[in-house]
Amino acid sequence: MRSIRVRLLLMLLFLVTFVISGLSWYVYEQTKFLLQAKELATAELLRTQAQKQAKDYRDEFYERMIHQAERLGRQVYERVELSPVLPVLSRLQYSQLLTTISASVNSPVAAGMVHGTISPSLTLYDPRISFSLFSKRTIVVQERALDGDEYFHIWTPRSSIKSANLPVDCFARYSSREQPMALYEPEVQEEVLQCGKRFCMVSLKMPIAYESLVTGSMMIGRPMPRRTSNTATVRNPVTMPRPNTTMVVQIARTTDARDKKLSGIKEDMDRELEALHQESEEVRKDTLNRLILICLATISLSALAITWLSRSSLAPLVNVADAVSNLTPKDLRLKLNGTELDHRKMPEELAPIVLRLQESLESLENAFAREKRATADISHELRTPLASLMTTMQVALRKPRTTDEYKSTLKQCIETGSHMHMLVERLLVLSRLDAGVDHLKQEPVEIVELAGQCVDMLRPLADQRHISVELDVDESASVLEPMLSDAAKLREIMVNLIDNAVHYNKDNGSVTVKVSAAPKSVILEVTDTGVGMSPEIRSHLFERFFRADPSRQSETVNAGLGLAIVKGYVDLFGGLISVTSVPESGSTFRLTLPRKSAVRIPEKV
Amino acid sequence: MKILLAEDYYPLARALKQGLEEEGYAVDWAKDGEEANVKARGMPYDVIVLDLMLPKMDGLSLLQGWRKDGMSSHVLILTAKDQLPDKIKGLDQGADDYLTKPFEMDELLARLRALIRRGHQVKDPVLRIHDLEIDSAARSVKRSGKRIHLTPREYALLEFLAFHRGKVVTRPMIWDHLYDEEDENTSNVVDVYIRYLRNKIDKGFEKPLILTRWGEGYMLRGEDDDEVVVQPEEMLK
Repeated sequence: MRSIRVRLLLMLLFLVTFVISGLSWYVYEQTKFLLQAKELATAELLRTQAQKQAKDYRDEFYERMIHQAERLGRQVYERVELSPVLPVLSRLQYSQLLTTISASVNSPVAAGMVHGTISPSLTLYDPRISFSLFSKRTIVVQERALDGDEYFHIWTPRSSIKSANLPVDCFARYSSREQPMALYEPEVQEEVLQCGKRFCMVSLKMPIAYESLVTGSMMIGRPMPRRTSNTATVRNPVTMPRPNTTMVVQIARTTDARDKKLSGIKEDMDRELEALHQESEEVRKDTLNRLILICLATISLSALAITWLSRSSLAPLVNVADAVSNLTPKDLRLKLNGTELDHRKMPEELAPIVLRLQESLESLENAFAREKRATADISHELRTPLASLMTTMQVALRKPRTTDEYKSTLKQCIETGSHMHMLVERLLVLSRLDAGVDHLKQEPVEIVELAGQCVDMLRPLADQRHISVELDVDESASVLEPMLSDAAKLREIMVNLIDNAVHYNKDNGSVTVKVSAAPKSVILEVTDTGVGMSPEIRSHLFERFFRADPSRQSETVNAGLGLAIVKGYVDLFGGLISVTSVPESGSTFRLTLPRKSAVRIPEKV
Repeated sequence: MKILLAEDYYPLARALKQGLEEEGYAVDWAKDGEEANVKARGMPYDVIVLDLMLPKMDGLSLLQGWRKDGMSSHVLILTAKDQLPDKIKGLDQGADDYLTKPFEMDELLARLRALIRRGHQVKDPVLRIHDLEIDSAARSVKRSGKRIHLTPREYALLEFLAFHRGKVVTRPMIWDHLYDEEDENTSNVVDVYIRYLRNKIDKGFEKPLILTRWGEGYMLRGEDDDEVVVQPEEMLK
């Protein structure tokens, strides 16, 4: 996990997996919801259809029974044969005949036409006479129109006719029934009989049709076929009372077939529902499988794409890392396969890093080179006096010598040693300046006086070559107050400058040290009439170990370090040093040092 | 043997000159490049000890100029530059040897001796002339197995003759190789040293080795010089 590439890869992969999985989950849920909705709707539809079918069937079942009952009822009529009593009645001229027929159907009803022969007793109630007469009555059920599992029971006021094989307790209820029934309003009952079968029963109250033997017409219902016989003999027909008699036709039927059919419908529905459920399950599973496949494919493709992307987008980083790891102390350039990296061709996020790195490496390389050169210079500068010291001593020891000879050898050694000491001191000064551990003292300094001291110090050296050294104090500087500065370092600067001016001067030349003051600074100018220098030399002037003339004069102690130290000190003071020079006629070093008054500071405090 | 010392650092030059002179070498000193150039071209030095960082003209360009003009003096570079590229550059410019500062005086002397031997196409550090043995490494001389003590200058003279044995060596040649620029050239100083040498080498032996050629100079007897008539020194005068 420490590789950015792997991290990026995993992150993107995770993201893609997350997004794709989320989307797939959403799609799956949506599909599932739609499938469920469809299933529910279809199931509802099926159920409704089944219910309607069942209801229709049930209705049809009842309708048929009612229809049977009605049909059967219509076929029932009472045939009253009054012929035996008609002559009596006509003789007595009874206008009104009250008839009470009490009869019992005593004949078994054959399957088919029922010929119930009734032996009626006709009772005439007359205040004058009281007699009874009998007449023949017949209930006729003309047709056989019932199915095998249908049973009937017809209740008339005087009798009841029923199917022969009617189960015992079927229709038993009607007789014990309390509530009167309305005409032509069928009642449907269902119950499980004692025999264990379920029966459905329809009861329909209907008027009984009479076949009028007098008129030959039916009193109710459709006209009966005209009977010409028997009736023609009745000349004065008695107006027969219109019998207002009703019957109840009951049709019973086992519900087995119906129930079977109904349960068949229900089973069909269940089967269809199951099939529907199966189908939607399959669709759901199929969708799920497809989604998983799509997910896997997409994620794999994304993984490939991400791998490629991360590799290609991280390639510059890898290149930089390679280049950095290929760095050696000897070659501090960022290289890849031998060619240097170009930060302009880098991605913009990386370009500043590479640029800065290259700059740092370059400055490091320069620093290394400077360091190397300085080390070489230092070792060179120290080796020559060291060689001199050792040679002197070795030569002295090669053979016995006099005391004076030894003394002179030792003096030579001390001379060389002190030269080395000064050199080392100067190197130390420079390295202290480099390390930044040198600090300025803050002490009151009389700059003019200090310049005078320096001039006086170097005058003997100048005199040897007949060079005049003069101090020129400007009016502005003559009234200068003591300033806060570091006298030792200032003296070092001035001595170095004047020493150089004398050293590079021509014999009988002159050196002028001018001190002047500006509002916030002191200006020191050292002018010589010496050899001057070319612009080339001037550009290297303040470099270490640089000499305008590479001569190594033993009497000079600077070793090419003097001006480097001067520059270092001037920088420390926060001042400026500049050089103007004309070859073969002289140079001027102009030094500008910031001035801090030594007197005013206590006033402020 | 005469050596030109081109070295600008005076204390070192002074010590080296003293050390070399005490070993019997004649040493001329040049304090800068120009002076070294003038002196090297004016005199056939056996060895030039050359510093590289010289004022006015640097050592390498001096060397390049000399080799270009066909000067064959041996050049030993004696410098503080101790980096390998500097050494290679110096040797490739035609230097015969390279020594870095600081150095051991003994090593410098040994290298100088080796260069001088090489100059005379000699590899054996012991020169044998008849029964005379000169060990140029130990700077000791024996004749017939007997040790002879010589001063450095006498030794230098004998060695010079020995390197040129069988050939006549003129007085100016001897002068040029054994005396430096500061020595006073008196007409008979060479003869005086020859006489000192004869006293130590030939005196008491049957066969004289140092021969005098009238009007020409001196020579050390070569292998086939047996028939040469011995002329006593007194007769030459």
